Amino acid sequence: MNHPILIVGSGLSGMMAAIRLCEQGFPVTLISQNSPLSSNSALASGGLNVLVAPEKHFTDTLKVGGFLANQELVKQMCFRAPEIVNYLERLGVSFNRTAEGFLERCQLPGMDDARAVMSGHTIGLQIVQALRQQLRRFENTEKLKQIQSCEFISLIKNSPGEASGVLVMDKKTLEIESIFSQVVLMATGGYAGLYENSKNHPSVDGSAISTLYQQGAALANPDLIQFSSEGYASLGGLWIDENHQTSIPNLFAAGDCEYQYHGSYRQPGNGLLAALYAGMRAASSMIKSLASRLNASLDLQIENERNQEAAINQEWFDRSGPENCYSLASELSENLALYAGDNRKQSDLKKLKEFISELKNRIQHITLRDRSSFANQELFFARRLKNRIFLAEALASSALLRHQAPAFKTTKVFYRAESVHVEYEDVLFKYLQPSEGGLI
Amino acid sequence: MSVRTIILKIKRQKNPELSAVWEEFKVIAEGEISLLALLQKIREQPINARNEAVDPIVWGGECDSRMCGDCGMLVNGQPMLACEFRLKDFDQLITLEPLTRFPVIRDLWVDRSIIEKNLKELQLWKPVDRSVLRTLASQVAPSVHAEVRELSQCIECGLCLEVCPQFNERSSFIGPQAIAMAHEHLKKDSLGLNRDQPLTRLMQKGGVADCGDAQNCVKVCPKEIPLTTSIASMKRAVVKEGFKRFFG
Repeated sequence: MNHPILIVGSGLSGMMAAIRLCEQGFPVTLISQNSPLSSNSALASGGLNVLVAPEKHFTDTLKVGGFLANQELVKQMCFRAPEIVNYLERLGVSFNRTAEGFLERCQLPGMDDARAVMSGHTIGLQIVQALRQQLRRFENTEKLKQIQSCEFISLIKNSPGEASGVLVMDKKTLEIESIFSQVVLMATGGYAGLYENSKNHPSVDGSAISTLYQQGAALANPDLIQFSSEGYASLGGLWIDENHQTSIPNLFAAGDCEYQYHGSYRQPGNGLLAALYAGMRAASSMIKSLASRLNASLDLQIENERNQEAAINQEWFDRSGPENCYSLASELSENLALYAGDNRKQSDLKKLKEFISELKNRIQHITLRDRSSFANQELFFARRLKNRIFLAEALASSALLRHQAPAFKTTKVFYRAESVHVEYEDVLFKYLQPSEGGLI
Repeated sequence: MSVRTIILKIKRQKNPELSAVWEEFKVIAEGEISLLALLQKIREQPINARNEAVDPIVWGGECDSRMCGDCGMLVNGQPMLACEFRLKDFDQLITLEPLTRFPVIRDLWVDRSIIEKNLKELQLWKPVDRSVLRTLASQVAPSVHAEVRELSQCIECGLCLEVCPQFNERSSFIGPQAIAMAHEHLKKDSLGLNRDQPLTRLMQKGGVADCGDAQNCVKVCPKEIPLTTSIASMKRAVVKEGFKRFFG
């Protein structure tokens, strides 16, 4: 295995992690379903917060997020923001400038001071393009291998249950291939695209998060979504610890697919920053983890798993009935917006759960319109639809329990024995108590 | 805006080996609906104008925000992004074809990986790593900044390559897009940390001298990037560099 590290997703977190790893000499495989321009990262039009006084940035971030964010991670993110901006500047990101040519900071909507560097309305595109040049640099020295023509469909686990690679499906040939590694980083983005009119990239539907959840990974706060007229942001995701390690050994997660940086509200200008910092931090954690995992055993059952996934494809072709996967997806996104929007009622959430259990049955009666075994986008969509439904169920279950939750709890959601389990987890106040509002 | 029936005539191809055939679809359009939305309608109910159930239309790109660059196609013969095209009242028949300068994968979905290949060869990266001091923000001349900002809007859609007479299977011309990106890089790399390889590639066969000055590229760019200005600037840079390398 000459590429011990595998990263899934080429938005800001995935690219940043890949760059940090390659810089330190670790060969990386980066897989994504499309070019980095097809991502929420590239669509970002706001700014990136960087404060001269990081302490203020830290306390503000915790306060607006209802003290649900991880204090250690937020602290590190805020204190390292200047370094991150400096790095991007050196890469050549064309941030807004004052008339004399110095970096300018702007006031984002909803903020009471000018704390964000911006780049017109295309900061996401600028950063994505700058990071891509670095990816090309490492591809040139063969430190990095990029695969952009396939979609993640499941995690490979070895017999002790550790992540040891992924199964992907080729977007053209529909072939299922296995890619092995010692550690896996998920950087697949959030799931706000589940909602109607979310203004997210359509691929931001949490399909990969849901796959891992169905394979045993814990989710955290999947009910938390930030609704605004500019678009929605998902705030929950895969459960991770302070080292970005998920509940599955050797599986890491960074960026919008995890939940640790924003709490219950994302401060404008913190999204891009968190994605970049999370990628950096996950890279260091993976290096540490790699040192102790060099002899991890590989699963020999892989042929079975590949056959299972191929059988799932065949099942989709074999099904017949009156349902249509695109219209079911629209129904799901409409119902999520209707029953699990900004003002949620217990009764509505229960209706949503009922709708979801009906949907689980209705997808058995989908007829795929596309019968082709080449470049069949509908087959990919159908597989994603099933994942969307399971994630929506986790979201609804978590939202139902949120109503009864004591203050300052994370909801942790598991899928076990074909049912959803939700429990509470305490948030640690390492530096700042909600009652104090000042640094400890 | 009225509700009316529109005929979409689409050039379809099941895979790279088979030849293309035309197929017509009747769709109900309301208001200034985008072409992408019409395609999505057909995808949901793929029934052609002869009332036959057929395979759904396949195309690349869904961001619907002019950002991913994947939905470039020929609309009534003109290269454009499908997400940008809004139907007008007078539109009755619209023809859609895949871009012609890139291999077709299926229907309107084309393989634009040559763009990435050309950018890789140019090596437009800065040799920068994480060992960075927290220095004060550097100063950039406002004129340079404005120029870089314009160039950095490229989404690699390939429309400029579609209309370039020099960009085709018989030539190795890297095209206006890659030249503009080289221009952007050299502008940003004011200290000249990585100039040699990009300039060498621009000077080689398929480099900037292969531009035939047709000036079609700049007219179709959805981001209005001043491609011909970049080409002129790179032509000058290459001549200058040539002299420098020859005379030492």
